[in-house]
Amino acid sequence: MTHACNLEGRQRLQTSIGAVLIQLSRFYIHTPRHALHYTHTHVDFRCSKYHPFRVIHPVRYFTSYIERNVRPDGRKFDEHRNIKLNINTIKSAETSALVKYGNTTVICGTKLELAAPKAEDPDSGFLVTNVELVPLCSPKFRPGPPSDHAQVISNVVSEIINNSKFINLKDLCIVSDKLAWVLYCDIVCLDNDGNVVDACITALTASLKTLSLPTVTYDPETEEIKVDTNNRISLKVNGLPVATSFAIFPNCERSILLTDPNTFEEEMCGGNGANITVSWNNGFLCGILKSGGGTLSIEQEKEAIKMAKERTL
Amino acid sequence: MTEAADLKECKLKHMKCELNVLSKSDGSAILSQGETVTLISVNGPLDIKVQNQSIEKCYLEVLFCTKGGRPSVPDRYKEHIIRQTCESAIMGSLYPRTGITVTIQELEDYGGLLSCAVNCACLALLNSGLAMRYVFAAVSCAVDETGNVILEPTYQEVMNAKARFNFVFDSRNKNLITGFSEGIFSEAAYEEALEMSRAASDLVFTFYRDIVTKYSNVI
Amino acid sequence: MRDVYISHCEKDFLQKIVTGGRRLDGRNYNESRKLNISFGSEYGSCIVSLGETKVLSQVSCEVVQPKQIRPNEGILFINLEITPIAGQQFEANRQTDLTVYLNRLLEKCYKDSKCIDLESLCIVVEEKVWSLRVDLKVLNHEGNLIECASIATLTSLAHFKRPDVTRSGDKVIIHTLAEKDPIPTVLYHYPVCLTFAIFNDLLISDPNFLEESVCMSNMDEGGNRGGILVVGMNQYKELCLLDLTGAAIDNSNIVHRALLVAADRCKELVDLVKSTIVDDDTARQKRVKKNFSDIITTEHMLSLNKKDLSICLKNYNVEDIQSPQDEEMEDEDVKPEPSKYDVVPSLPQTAEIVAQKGASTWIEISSGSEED
Repeated sequence: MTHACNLEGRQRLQTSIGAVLIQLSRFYIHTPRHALHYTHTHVDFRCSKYHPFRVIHPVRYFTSYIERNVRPDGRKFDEHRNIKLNINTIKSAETSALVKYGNTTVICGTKLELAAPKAEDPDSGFLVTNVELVPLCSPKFRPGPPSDHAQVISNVVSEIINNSKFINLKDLCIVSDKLAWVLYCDIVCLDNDGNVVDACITALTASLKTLSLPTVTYDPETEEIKVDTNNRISLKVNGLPVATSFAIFPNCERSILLTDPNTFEEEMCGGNGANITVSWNNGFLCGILKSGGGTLSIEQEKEAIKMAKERTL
Repeated sequence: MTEAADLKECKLKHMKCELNVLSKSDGSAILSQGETVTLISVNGPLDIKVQNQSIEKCYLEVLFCTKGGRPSVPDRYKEHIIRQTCESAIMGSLYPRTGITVTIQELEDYGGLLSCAVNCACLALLNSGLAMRYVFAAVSCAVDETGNVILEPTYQEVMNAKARFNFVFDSRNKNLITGFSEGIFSEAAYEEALEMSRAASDLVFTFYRDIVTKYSNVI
Repeated sequence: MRDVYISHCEKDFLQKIVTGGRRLDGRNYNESRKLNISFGSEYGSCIVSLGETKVLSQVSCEVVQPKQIRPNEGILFINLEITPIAGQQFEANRQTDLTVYLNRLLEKCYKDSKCIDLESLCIVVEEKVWSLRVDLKVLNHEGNLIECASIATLTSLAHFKRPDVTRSGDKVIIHTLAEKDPIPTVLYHYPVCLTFAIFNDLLISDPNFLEESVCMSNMDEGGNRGGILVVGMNQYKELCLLDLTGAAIDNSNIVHRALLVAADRCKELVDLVKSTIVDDDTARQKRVKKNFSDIITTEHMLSLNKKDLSICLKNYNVEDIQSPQDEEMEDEDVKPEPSKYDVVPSLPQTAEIVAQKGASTWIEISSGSEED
C-alpha cells in the first residue's frame, strides 16, 4: 500500500479509499509514539515520505514530531542541512556553481554579452538574474511559461542581489553611453526540496565571485570593439550576501522557527516557499522578507535576525 | 517613550475610503492614502476548476492590474505578497472546494502603492463578508540618507530613500504578518522602523473601525 | 468565462414591461443612464461611468520606429481588458469572445475612421514616431460596455497630452512636463459608439446588463426577435460604424430610427466630453490638483453616482401604476405608500436610498416603535 501513496495522490486517496484507511489512521492517531518509533527505525529518512501516517494525516504527523522538539528528518529546529558547493560545473558557461542544500539542488551559470547602456543611466551595465523552476525539480511544476511561483522567486533573488550592492553596476560599464557588459545569470533548480531562495543566492554569489571579465578595447572613431579573452580582470565584488530562510510553524502558544525548511515543512507552514528570509551583507541587512505562515512576535524576529547574522560570520 | 507619545508622533497620510463601489462584485472598496489610490473587488466563494480545488481550504487568487501597459514580474511579486497576507487572514477552511478572487486595480501611484493595496484589500474583504481571523493593516516607511526613519514617505522621499519597508500587522497582537524591505540598512534602523510602523498601525485600525461603524448604520 | 443564467421569471417580466412601455430602472425608451467623467492626475487617464457601468482608461505614449508601409505616421493601439473586477463571470488573463468583439469595434470606430491625425505624431520620418496606447479596463459591467468604453477612449485621447520634442541634428530631445508644455492630440472628429437593444419592433437605447442579456437570449427561443445594434457616429452626424448582433431585422425602419436618435445623442455626448475637458484644463491651469481620490465621496454610501436612481423612480406617479393590467401591480396599488418605491428596484442597492436621506433612518424607526 505504501508505495502507492504519494503526496499528490493523497486527496484522491482520502476520498476514494474509505473505511480501511480511516481505521488505520485512527490507530496511528491514538499511538503517535508508535508511529514515531516506526520511522526512526528506518535507516533512510526519505522513506518516511511514504509513511501511511504522513500520507493520511500530514499535520498530525508533523505536530507529533514538533511536540517532541525534533523535525521529521531528524534535525533540531535551528539546524541546517549540509551544504555542498561545486564551482565551475558547466564548462560552456563563463562561470558556474552547483549548490546542494540537503536534497535541494540549484545550478547557476553566467554568460557575458556586450550592449549599449540605457540612455537614462549611461554609466551602468546590466545584471540580469533569472530563476527557473523546471518540471524536473518537483511534481508541482509543469512545462510552459514560468509559473507565478518561479516569477516570485526570481524577483526575490534579484532584489536581494541588487539591494546588497554585491556588484557595482558601474564596474560593468566599459565606455560611457556606448558599451557595457550584460551579465546574464541563469539559475535552474534541479531538485526542489525547500529553501530554494537561499540556495539560489549561494549559487549566484559563488559564480559571480569567480567571474573575470575579458579586457575590451573600444575605438571611439571607428567604433571597433576588440575583446581580449586571454587578459582577464576578476570582477570586483562587495562583501558576500547570505540569505537565511526560516519556516514559521504556528503552534498554539508560540510560533516555532524552523531553519532551512524542506518542502514538507514549507507546506506545513502554509507558505509558498519559506516564510521569512533574512539577508546580510557586510554587517548590513539587505533584505527581510516575511510572507505568510504564522505571525511572528518581536523576540522571535530578533532571534531570526540574530541567527542569520551568526551564519554570515 | 510611552505609547501615547509614540502615537502623537506618527501621522499617516490622509485616508479616504468608500465601500461597495462596484455593483457586480461581492465586496469592493476604493481607498486613497494621500495621492495613492487603489480599487479592489472581492468575489467569492465561487465555483472553480477542479484542478485548483482543495478539499481543505479555499483557493485564493489575487490579480494585480496596473493602469496601463502589460503585466510584469514585479506585479507577480506584489500579487504574491497580497495573496500571502490575505490567505493568513481569511478562514479558508470554511470554504472548501471554492475559490476567492481578489482583483486589485491601481488608479494612482504616488508612493506606498503596496500598503494602500493591502489596506484596501482588507476593507474589501470586510465588505464582502468573508470570515476572517483578524483584520490587517499595512504601513510603509523609508530610511533616508542620514538614517532617519520616515513614516509614510511621499513620492519624492521614496525616490531618495536608502531603504524602504512595508509591514503588515494583525489586529489581535500587532504581530508581523508580512514584511519586506528594499535597499540596504542596519539592524537598528530596521527595528526602529518596525516599532514605529507597529505604533502607526493603530491609526489604520481606528480608521477601519470608523468606516465600518459608518456603514453598519446603513446596512 | 462562467455562464450567467437569467431566470425565466426575470426574462418574462422584463419582456412584459418593455412591451408595456416601461423599463426596469424607470427610464424612457430613449433615455440614457447618467454619464459621469472623472479625470486622474495624469493626462489621458479617466474613469467614465454610465450608470453603474464603469471603465478606466489610460493613454500612454512612447517613441518607436514607424511601420514600413507608413513611414510618416504614428501608431495608435487600443486594448480593452476585462478582469474579474468587472463581474465574477470573467476570468483573468483570458481573451474572451466579448473582449475580441469590443476591441474590434473600438478599432473600427477610432482607427479605421481616421479621427486622429497620425501624421502629427511623426518625429523623424522612417525613424521615430509616437505610439499612442489606450489601455481600457472594465471596472464594472452593468451593460452597454461599448458605449462606456468608447466614451472613455474618446475622452482620454482628447484629454491626453504628449511631451514636446525638439530635434537638434540627429538627436531628439524629449522634454519633461516641467520643461515644456505638453502638446494635445489632434482629433479631426469625435466619434462615439451607441448601443440599442432591439425587442421585436421596439428600440431601447443604452440597455443595462439585464436588458442586453434578455434581448440576446430571445432569439434562442424563437417567437421574439431581439438583437443589439451598435451605431458609431461623430458630432457631424456622420456614420462611422454600424454593427448588428442577434437576429436579422426585416424592417429597415428600425435602423433609421436608431440613426435619428443616435445623431442627437452623439452631438450631446461630444459636447459634454469637450466641455468637461475644457473645465479640467482650466482647473489644471489654476494648479488645482486632480486625483482619482476625488471620486471617493462620503455623502452617499453605496456607489459613485447612484443618486439618479431616486430621481428615476419619481417618474412613476400614482396614475401610471394604476394603468397596468397586471394583477400583482394592482395589489401593490391598494396601499400606495411612498416607501414602497424603495422596494421597486429590487436590486441590491435598496439600502442606497435610505442612505442618501440620512444614515440614521433605521434607528429612528426602531426607536419610534419602542415608544408605541
